[in-house]
Amino acid sequence: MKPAKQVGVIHSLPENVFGAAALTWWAVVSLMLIEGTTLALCAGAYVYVRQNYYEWPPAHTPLPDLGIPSINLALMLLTIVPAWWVFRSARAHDRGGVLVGASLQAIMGVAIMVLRYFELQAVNVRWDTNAYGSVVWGVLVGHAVVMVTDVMDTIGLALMFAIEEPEEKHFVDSCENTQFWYFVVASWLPLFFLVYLYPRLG
Amino acid sequence: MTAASPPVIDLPPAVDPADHARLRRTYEPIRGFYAWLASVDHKSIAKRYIATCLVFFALGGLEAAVIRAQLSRPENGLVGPDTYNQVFTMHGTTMMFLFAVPIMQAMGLYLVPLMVGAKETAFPRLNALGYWVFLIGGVFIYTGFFLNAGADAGWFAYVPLSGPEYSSGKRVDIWAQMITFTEIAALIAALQTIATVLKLRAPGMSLNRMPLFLWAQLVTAFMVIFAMPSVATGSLFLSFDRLVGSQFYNPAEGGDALLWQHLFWFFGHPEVYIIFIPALGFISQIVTTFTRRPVVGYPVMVLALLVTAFMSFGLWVHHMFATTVPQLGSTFFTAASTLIAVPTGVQIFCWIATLWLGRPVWRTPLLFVMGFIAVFTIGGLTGVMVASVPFDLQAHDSYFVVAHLHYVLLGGAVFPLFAAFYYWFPKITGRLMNERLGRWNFWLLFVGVNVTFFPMHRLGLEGMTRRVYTYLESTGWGTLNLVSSVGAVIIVAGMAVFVVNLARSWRGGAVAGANPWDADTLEWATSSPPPPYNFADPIVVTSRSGLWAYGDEIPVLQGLRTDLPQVLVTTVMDAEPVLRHIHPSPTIAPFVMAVIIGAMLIGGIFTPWAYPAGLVAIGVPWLMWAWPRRRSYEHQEELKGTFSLEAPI
Amino acid sequence: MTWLQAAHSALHPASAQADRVGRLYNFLLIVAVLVFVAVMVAALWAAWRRRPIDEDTSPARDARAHRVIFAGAAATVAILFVALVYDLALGRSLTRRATREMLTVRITGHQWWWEVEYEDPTPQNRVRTANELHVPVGQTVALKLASADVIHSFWAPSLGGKKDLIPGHHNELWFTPTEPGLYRMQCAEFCGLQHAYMALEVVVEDSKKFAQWINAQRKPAATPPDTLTARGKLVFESGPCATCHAIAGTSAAGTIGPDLTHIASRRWLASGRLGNTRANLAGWIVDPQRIKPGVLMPSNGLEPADLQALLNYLASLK
Repeated sequence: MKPAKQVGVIHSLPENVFGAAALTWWAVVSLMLIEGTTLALCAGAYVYVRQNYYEWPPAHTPLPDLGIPSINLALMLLTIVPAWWVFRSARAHDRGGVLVGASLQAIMGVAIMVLRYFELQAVNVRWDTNAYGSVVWGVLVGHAVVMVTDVMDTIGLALMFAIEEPEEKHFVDSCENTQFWYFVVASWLPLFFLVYLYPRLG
Repeated sequence: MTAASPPVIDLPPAVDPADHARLRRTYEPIRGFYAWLASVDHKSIAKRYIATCLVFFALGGLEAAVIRAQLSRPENGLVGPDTYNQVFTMHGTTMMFLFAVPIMQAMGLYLVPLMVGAKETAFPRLNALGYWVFLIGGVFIYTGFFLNAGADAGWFAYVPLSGPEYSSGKRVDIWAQMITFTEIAALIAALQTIATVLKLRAPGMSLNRMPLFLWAQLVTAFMVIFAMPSVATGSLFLSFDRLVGSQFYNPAEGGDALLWQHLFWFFGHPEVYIIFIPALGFISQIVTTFTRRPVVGYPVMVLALLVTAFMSFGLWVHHMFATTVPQLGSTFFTAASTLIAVPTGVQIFCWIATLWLGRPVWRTPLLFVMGFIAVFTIGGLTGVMVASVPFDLQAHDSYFVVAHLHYVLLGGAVFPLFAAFYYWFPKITGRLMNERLGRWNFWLLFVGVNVTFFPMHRLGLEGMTRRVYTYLESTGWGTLNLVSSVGAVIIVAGMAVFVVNLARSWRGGAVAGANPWDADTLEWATSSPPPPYNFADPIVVTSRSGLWAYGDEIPVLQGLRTDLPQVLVTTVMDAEPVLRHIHPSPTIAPFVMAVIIGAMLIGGIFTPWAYPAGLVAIGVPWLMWAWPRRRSYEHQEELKGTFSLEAPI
Repeated sequence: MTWLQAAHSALHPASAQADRVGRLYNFLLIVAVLVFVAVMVAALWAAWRRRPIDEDTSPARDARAHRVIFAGAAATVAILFVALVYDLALGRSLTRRATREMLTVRITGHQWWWEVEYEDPTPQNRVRTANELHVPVGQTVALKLASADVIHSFWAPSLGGKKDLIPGHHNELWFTPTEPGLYRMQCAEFCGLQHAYMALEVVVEDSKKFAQWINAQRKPAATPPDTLTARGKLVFESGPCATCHAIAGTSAAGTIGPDLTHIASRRWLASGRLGNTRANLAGWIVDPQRIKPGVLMPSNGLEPADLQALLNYLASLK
């Protein structure tokens, strides 16, 4: 092997960084692409099945309710606040701030999950009634799975910050978790439109 | 399993030679079975992956042997229709899901960190998870097969045949769930590759100096991310139709049999390019090394990879020309399917030009490259034929297509893979494979593949359809089928020679040293096999020609820790050093998580409640995984490290 | 009975459509062979040519190589464009429906047999049969394709390309046969255990013969001429046969299996699996599972005398 010749030093480079320079960001963005594609496909299946029917929802299938879904949507939008708080606190290395934000976000997240369960009743169709029911449940459950993984992540973060002195990288992870949560909320908007508003457009 | 220790020579360059011992301690703190189970070393994981894929390749080959034996004579009674249907389904399923894609990714998982000059892959624990999930999925479907619950609806399992009404039992459920397992593993590998290639490249390895192999792996990883979700979604819909009575694919309730085909083929077409493009990466490196010069037309080669990948997402309907797709739509897919030959053709022209301008060194890898050119070109030309709707309506679902797909897969993936094995075996094990056996291996495979599959073009045009367990003598298909089956025996002989070569070279091959081929890429700048830490000091890359550009010394940077496992993170475009990333230590958490995912998915074929239960249970190993580890590092103060709010991307 | 006389090759076209596709294939084949030879000659020459030791290795050679590659790429695009234009033009012309009078036949795929129904505005003229299709030479036949269960595919290579029979969808295939003769069609989409033995014979004949055939098919089943045959009819109607099979003019009206009104006029049994002989039919009735394992027809234990009577009856259904 040829001998090494030192041409530079890198001792002073940081060992943790926020944002796209760090590896975690790339993992989270890749996950967004993957989940985003999956949700887009669920939506695609919904649109594909639409063309098999003259009416939508199909005849004898009621429209989905708007009440509980709207409350849940509002709650989801509200969670942006604690998520942002986590982001801000993490970048300031404020363990307490992250703990408060993450705990709030986690609690609201669980509430959203509970409401999502009621949303599944509120669509007024079962997954096995017809293909319309299947694709509606497909969209709702698909998004719910994406959401539940992030809620679990947030709960885990809150626990970690509560019990243990976090490492540097956990502050970075908290920021990335916020970004993923923004994705969870943002991806719901077109899906909400598709499931609850589009059938009402006549 | 490690190769019988070849002498440790040619350690990677280090300004301070004492670093080697320190790094060895840091990267290999414990040994033994538990260490193996908890390992997050990308090389260890990739070797397991490759070995597992080769086992599946052998199983897929055995299934092929049964097929060819059964079809060698008309009205043969070797196996009945039920067994045959399981065998051909398992053959396709094994080859596509358990061998072809994973092995290309596994070769990447081994080579990419080395080729970018990094100590480790971007997400070592996630890497381990990917392998275990893959292993459990493969064992799962084969357990089903051995219990007479083998998938039997074809590797693309069209509904309604694979639906609840026409496929009873758990056969198709097992198949559909295997897809979930392998899809998770593939996505994890893709995520790894993207982050490693974009962020862990050696300083100075700007994008336009990156070896073509890395471009191929990067492009493939993006394709996996956009294609895999389609088959996973489709197969989950199928599972739910079968398990809980959803109606996605049931025409009686507004569902659609063609929805399955669209979801499957939107994945299925890119899938074959996911298999093919990494092989193109192998070829570029091998042609470079064995013609002693860089491949001609680097920017065109990169563009060709990007265009091929992009276009491959616009072809899928060509699998559905015989359905009710309207003629206008088919026109688009015919055009795309025909024109995709251009970027690949251009790559072949560039390699031929490189051969012309270079000074070929005739070793086994280059032989397999020549074989690839011949076999793949035939496959590509029949591909242009079936791109046309009128001709495809004759050839579709006949043995003509079987011929086409095997020519492109064997020519375009397996031959390059064998070239890659002969080429990189010395790096992985420290020993060279035998050249004479390599030549026998090549010629037997080359002859065998042509004898087996060429007659199938004719058989297809003579009316022989796919997936038939037998045929009447008066169809006249007997002679060509017999010839084809003889060819299969020749292929088996070629594979046997490979196995013998592998076994003999593993412990008895000539010692290779760091760079037996005098190649130019960074993996050859460390010992063979590489030490656990791959490299000591990050090597600075100064040109597209890598190692060939250095004089008497190799330029390196100093400053990564040796007391903690640390990689240098660089910018995406120009690979400027930006961050020193401490990566995680070995842990059993990924293995535990894979077991729980396995339990969840296997349970999921019996009851939908397995999913929520599993998701909750995953929380436990996840916490194990991510929990702040205070005790594993010695210097708790230094653990805080330095931080920065912003850094260049 | 063999399939030897029945053409089933895309290389032996016997319809206007198959003929044109055959020409396209020949063109693409020639192009493919030429391209393959060119690529291999280039590759082998590049690999094995003698290189002088002091050969010029300057970048100027690379520039020349780029030009050659560009020329190759341009040639590739040109050739592919020609192929593409031919493909698309032929595709368009083949999908244009014939304006002349078309004979319309409804084909429904079942696991593992073909239901054939000739359409006609007059209900009495509709003909129902199975596993055999007669068409007059020179007339365009339009097949309306549907499936009763899973996806099947109708493919008679000598008569043209294939189309899938997809449950929940309607598909169409037409061809204009140009040569009288026998043609073999086999299911081309994997449809389960007996996909391998799901064939159909297409008989292309002159219009007089076709008229004779279809008129005979329009008649209900022949009345039994003697007591043995009558006994056979009774066995059929009162036994399990009538649950699945129909014979027009009797009380048997099952629709699960093929219509047997004129079974004796067919050359094949069991969807092209067995020649239509008395012995084969006996074997099939008694134990279909032995011949086509997995087929939906159950075994039938019949008294030998009943079996003979039944065979007589079925043989009378011309």
